[in-house]
Amino acid sequence: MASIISSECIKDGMILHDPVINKNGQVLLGAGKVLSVSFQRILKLWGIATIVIESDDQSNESSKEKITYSVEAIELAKTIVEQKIKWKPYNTFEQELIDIAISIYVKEVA
Amino acid sequence: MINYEDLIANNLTIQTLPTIFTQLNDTISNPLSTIQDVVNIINKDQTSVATIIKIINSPIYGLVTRVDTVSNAVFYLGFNEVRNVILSLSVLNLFKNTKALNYFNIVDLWKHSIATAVISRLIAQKCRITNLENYFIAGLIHDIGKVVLLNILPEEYAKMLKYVTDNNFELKDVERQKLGITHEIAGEYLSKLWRLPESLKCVIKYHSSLEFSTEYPQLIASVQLADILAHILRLGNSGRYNVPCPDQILWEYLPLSQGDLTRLISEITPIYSESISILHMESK
Repeated sequence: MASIISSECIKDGMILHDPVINKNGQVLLGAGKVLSVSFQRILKLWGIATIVIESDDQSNESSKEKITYSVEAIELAKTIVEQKIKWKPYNTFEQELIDIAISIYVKEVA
Repeated sequence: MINYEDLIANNLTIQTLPTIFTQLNDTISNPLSTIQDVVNIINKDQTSVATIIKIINSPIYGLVTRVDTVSNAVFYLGFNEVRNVILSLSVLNLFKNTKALNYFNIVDLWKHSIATAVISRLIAQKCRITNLENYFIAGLIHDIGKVVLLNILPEEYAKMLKYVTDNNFELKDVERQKLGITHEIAGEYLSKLWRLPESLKCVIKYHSSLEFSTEYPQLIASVQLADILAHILRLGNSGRYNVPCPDQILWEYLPLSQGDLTRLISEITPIYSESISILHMESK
């Protein structure tokens, strides 16, 4: 299983389920990367508001903010959002708007 | 070629604002007016007084102190914002007086407008804008041109909104192509007819084309972002399926930090729900 969490909620030991990719498609952090609290600041600097982490890992249980969804639900939510938001994000705020939309739709399709 | 300006001016439902608003406008623009002059005008209409007090004490304004009189309302919110509350009631009445249509539910547009109003004010608060006057009414009134078109061309415009939603088209393109007018221009004609303040005229005309406005950029930017968030949260229905594209210049006017938008989302729903319930009762 995977969970979408806010980058501000990263805890030591969490594992990335999906790679972190910037708007140009470059992979900033690969899937499987073990995270630590210091990544909160780094991801904020990169303008990444949310990430997808492995959710069945013991180390994630302390995170109260996490919501668990299947990878399929997240993918379906992304597809719906692509139809609704036809523009490409040009900055971190616009990416945040898209992430908000995904987090809303994923609750419905899960 | 249809003369829309004349059509709007001659439409009985939309042509006039209540006398109280016009009187307030004249009094407020007179530098010799006192608080008592404004209070006296509002107090003449006791039905309005009760409604104004109720709205001002609602979560929309989030006042810490309870306001019980018109003079207190003017003291806490200022002349202009009290006048804006009265204008809000007229705008909501225009929604209410628009005939029910087969292809489009006006209540959904009413909800979208209230959502945009609530979010616009929350954005301004998040950006620590000190003068919050106009942010609620600006959001509420931004799509008034659609209400105008639903009054002057009811079936045709309602059908067009459904066509745009069903096919995920750009509303403005279809409006230009099929009607020869956009809802922004229709709204601009109404704002002239109603003699609305310049700030609101600009919001109505430029809420989806911020880059063309030379005045009130922060107010228009807040409304544009609020409109986008209302679409993302699907609060009401503006008559378009897709989420409007933000103007690149928008972010220059709103001093937001990363994560502010995500944090804002949780604040919107409770205020929106309560506003819907209060304004629904008051516009009955």
